[in-house]
Amino acid sequence: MAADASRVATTMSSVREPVTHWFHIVAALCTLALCLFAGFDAGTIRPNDGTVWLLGRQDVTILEVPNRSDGAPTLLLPGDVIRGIGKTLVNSPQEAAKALGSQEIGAVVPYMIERSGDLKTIPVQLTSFRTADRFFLYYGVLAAVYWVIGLMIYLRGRRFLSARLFFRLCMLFAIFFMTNLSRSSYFWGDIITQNAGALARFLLPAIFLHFFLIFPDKKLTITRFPVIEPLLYVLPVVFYVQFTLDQFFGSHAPRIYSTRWLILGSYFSSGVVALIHSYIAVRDPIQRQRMRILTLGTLAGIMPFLVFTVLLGGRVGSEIAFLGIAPMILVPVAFAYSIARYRVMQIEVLLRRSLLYTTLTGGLLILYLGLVLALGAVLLHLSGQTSQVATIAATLLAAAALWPLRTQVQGHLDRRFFRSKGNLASALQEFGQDIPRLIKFETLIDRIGRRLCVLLDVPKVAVYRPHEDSRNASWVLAGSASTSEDAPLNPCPEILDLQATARRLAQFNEPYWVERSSTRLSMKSAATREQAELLQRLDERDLLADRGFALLVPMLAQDHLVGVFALPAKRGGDDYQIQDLELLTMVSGQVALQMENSRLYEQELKKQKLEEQLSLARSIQSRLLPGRIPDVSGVDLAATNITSAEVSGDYYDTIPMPDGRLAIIISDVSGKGVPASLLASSLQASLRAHCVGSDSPAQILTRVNLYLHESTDPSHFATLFLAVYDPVERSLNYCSGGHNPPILRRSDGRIELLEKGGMPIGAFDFSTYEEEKILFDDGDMLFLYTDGLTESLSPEGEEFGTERVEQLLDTYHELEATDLLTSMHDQLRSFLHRDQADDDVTLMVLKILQTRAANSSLLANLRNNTHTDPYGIQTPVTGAERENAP
Amino acid sequence: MKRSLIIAPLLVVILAAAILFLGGPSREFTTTSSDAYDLFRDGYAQTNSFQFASAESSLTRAVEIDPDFAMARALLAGVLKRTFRADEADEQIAIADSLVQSLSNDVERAKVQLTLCGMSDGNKARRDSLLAYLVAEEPDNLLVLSAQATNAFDNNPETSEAIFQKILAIEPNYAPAYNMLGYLSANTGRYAEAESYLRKYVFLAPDLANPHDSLGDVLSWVGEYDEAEHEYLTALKIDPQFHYSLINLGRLYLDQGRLTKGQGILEKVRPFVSDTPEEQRIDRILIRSFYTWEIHDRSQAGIASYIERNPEEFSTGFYKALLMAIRGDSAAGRIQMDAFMSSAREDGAKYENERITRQIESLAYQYDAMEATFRDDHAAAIIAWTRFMDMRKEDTPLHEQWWVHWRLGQSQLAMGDGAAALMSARAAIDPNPNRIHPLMLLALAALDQGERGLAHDATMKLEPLIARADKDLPVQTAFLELKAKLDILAVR
Repeated sequence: MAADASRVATTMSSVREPVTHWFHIVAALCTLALCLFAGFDAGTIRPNDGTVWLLGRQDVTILEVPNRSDGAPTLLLPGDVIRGIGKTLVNSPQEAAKALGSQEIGAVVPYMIERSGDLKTIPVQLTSFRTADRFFLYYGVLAAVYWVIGLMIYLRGRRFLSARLFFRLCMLFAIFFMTNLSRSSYFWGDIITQNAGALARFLLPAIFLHFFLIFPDKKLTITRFPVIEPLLYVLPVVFYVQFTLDQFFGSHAPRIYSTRWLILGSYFSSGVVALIHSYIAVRDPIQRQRMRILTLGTLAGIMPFLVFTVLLGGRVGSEIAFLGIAPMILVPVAFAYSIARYRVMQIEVLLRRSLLYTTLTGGLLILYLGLVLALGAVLLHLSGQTSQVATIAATLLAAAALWPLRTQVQGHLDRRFFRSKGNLASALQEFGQDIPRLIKFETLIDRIGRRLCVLLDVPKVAVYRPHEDSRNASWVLAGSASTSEDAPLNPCPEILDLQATARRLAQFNEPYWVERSSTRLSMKSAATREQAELLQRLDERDLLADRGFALLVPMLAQDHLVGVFALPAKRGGDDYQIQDLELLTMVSGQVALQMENSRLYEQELKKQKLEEQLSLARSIQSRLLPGRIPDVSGVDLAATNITSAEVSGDYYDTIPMPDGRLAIIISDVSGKGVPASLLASSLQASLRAHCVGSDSPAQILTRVNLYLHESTDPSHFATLFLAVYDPVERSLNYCSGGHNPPILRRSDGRIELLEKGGMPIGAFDFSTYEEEKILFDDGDMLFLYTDGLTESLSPEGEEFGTERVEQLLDTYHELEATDLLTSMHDQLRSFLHRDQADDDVTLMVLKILQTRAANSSLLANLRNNTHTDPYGIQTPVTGAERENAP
Repeated sequence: MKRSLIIAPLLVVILAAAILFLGGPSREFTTTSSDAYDLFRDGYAQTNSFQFASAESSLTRAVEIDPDFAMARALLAGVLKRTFRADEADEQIAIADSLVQSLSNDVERAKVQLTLCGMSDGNKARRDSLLAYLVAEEPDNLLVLSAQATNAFDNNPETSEAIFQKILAIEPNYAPAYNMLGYLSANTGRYAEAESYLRKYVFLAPDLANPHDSLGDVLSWVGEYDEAEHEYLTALKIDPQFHYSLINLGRLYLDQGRLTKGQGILEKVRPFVSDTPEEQRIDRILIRSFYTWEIHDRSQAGIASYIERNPEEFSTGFYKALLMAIRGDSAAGRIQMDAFMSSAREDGAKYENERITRQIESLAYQYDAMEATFRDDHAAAIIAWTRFMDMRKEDTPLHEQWWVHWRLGQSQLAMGDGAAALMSARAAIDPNPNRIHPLMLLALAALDQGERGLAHDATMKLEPLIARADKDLPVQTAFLELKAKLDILAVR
């Protein structure tokens, strides 16, 4: 039910909105019609008999006979009932007004009056009369200004109550200026204009007060007691009803009494006080700056009005009244300026073009109407017909004939004033088609930027985006376009500090006007974070202004600010129009999306490249590793290489020597990827070559070190462990080149580390190496590994470490070499809680067999081999598997 | 949708403006020329305001421009009739009659036929039928209403007044309606109202003679002689040939006892209206005046002259009988009167009108009364006047009843019935308190009744009135005698 009520409320609201809007439009048109009507009435010179009677009465009883302006006496007396004017009998004030209006000014006209029950005919000389005084033209200008500005503000900001109230205020002021209660022309329309004028006079103070009670922000009183708002209008309505009744039953011309003026004046005064309070209460210096012009303008306009017109009531002459009304033009102008300059009420008002365009369009319509009537008259005359059917037919024909001409002229007007309006649709279509096709960002900015330069008539357009390094808060120039010859002389800066401005842009997602602060803020340092932010923004704004920028338009993609359009002022100083902002907003959105697409595309390309490199590195690495481990009597030898996501330079090798000894190598090359794999390959080749010519590991390492140092740069090096096993002596002659010391587990469980050697290979050319010879017993086990094993980190950040390796060797020492390696691998996976380590892991194990077992295993070892499974894990292969392998 | 919302209102505005500014009013009568129609409208207005010369000129030009303009011809015929050019009128009637058949519009045809009907005394049934048709078709048409009201003026004044009020409701400034309402009001004794209407008539048409003339009539009926004279003179100033005002002015002077002046004016106008009913009217005015002011030789001469000039006229038989009675030959007079009555009844029967029947029958009583008076048989005169009054009271306007009341009062006074004479005098004074004869009767009756104050007041009122009258009138002597009596009584 609540949902239904909410739906109904929403529906009602959505229905009410257009109704309310059309009500306001109709009110504006009615006000315009009334003002034109009143102006026509006031400006028309009409004959006058010097008497005062009421149009609202049933008879034409003369109420007053004021002194005539020409001083001539009149034979008419108060109390006389006018029964006829000229040669026309009149039964009502309207007929009397009509009869009076048809007389000649200056003529002596017979008046039939009823006096004390007798009918008399009295000659009356008519004088000329016009309700408009000599200031009326200025009042007309005032009314026009109020009407135009009020309507513009309503059209741009009708969703705000303040804009609607300001609109009503302006309409009522326009009526106020154009109507006059003290003088009546007895024109039939006087009833309308005088009543409208009276209503305006009564309602104005209430709306004035109401407006300043909610502008710029609702006063606390109103928020707490919302009933005050409608109550403001009770007294004015009562006054108006009294005024209306006076027209029918009063004994003199209806007027607004002094006491009522004073009461209404108190409304105005309260409104002024509310405005001053609002100004004083504003804390934000920018807001205060915006309010300053508005406040001063309103005070300057209203105070004389309060003094000369309201306080002095209707007792002053037209000159004094003019003093009170003349400055009132400052009120709407101050508001319009504040809105256009500072976007007070958060609405855009562009007056210049709209006013001229509206005037020309209206003039064109009037001209069209006149031409239609003229052409219709010609057609009627030619046809010789006078019937109404013929009149209608001729008029329709004329209207149809002239309609295309009117449309064409209107089109020229539209194109002249709203070039971008005509182009807006095509521009949007063009952008909509072009932008998605332009993946390359530089091309996108160039093409779109150039188009925008032409459409908006600006010398250049620049796009800034955040620095790639998130630690750098600057905004960098992503691209720019210009059509101006002097653009190279005024290049766009490469870097801009826009942090605070960017935050604001991201927050509000609306165009940001760049303007230099006209006054230096009194705040030297910020006391709060907001003030600091404000200061920074002001500084950035000044900087942008120095760089020649006038407008920033944010580019958001998925609520994330990815860039900013920065534009200078238009050529010729024209303002950016609403259509320009609409275009920029739409284009910026599309470009933002396209920027994101472009970035993702580049990311994808990089990823692909990386994948390719990884694959190549893996391929190289796989070729480094020996296809099979040679059989050596008396030992169980196995090796495995577990590759990580990023291929590193781990490798192992076994090189059988002619004399039956076996060289065992394990190495870890610096770097990752293809370079590391290539280095490993080079190292392997060098080692293999030197192992043939020498049997001294130290000598070999020395030579390989020199070779590696000369052929690569010092940043490329390798750790290396080279050992030569003599199966006859059951000895191992080794040398370590900075490698993790292999773990020797004696049969009795003692752990020895083989540390003899020197520096890593290839780092320094002066490195020297020592070798050591050890002897094995039955059951001894040598475990070789790379640092990928011991330096692997668990999810908790714990290292696998050598202690764990020693413990595992102790645990699994009885397993065969391959099983031991498999168990070690399993333990590693379990430790990591994943299948892959961050670095390659290479493991080798050499188990010294029992003498008898050594012979029997000789044949088996010959058949041992390894292969690489598709997942990069090298596992030992039994002889049976090897036979069955494809 | 948006476009049609803009175009539709614009189209409405254009059409409204076109109809307002370009479309002219539709015409009531068919003519090919707008100039002829304008002239017709002028002629119609001039006819209504008795500007017959101007009306004739306008209508003649209208039919010259459009010879087939039927209504213009009909109206022109009416004007010619009213200016006593019957032959020319008949010619126009014949042409209009022939043109009527070619009119396609039934209403227009009926209007033209109604206008033509109005020019002949007969065809009442046809006129009524046409009126009924037009009233049904165009109940608010001023011409139709005006014809309807005029038709009812004599026989049904209440209906006539209502219709004229309706005309004014439609067109408050329709001047002829005020004229007719003025006379209707006066005829029913509402003289203040009549004056109000006619003052409005004057106000609406101050440049026409007829309104002033009409106002003068009402003013003269209520004894405002100076103002009435002013109005008649104003009418003559506007139109020196407006003979109605000349005749009325002459009558006004005669009513005041300024016989020399009055007769002089009437004799001046006689040549302009010779052989017309207006001349007969002049004669009747003179006869009555001389009789009233007791200048019997002149009244007899007038009657004789009237009889000579109008041997076939309706009232000639009555005058013959009267003359015989005046000369003392009552028997011959009675015979003549009986013959007249027989003839009159026969003629009157054609109209089938009660009012006309009463008027005719009352003539017998009038003769009896006058004849008895000549014989000083006041008792018989009283009876005859009383019967005459009973018969004519409803049809005779108050301002015309005074003469009967006065005559009755005179006879009553002569019979010694001062009280009755006093009552008659009072009735005779209403509505004109400035009439000499009723005032004299009042004074004498008051004296007879011992009401010296009333007699004195009446005498005081008489004094300035008598002073203006011709010095050789018998009433001057009577007044002096009256004053003498009062003086005597005052001394006593």
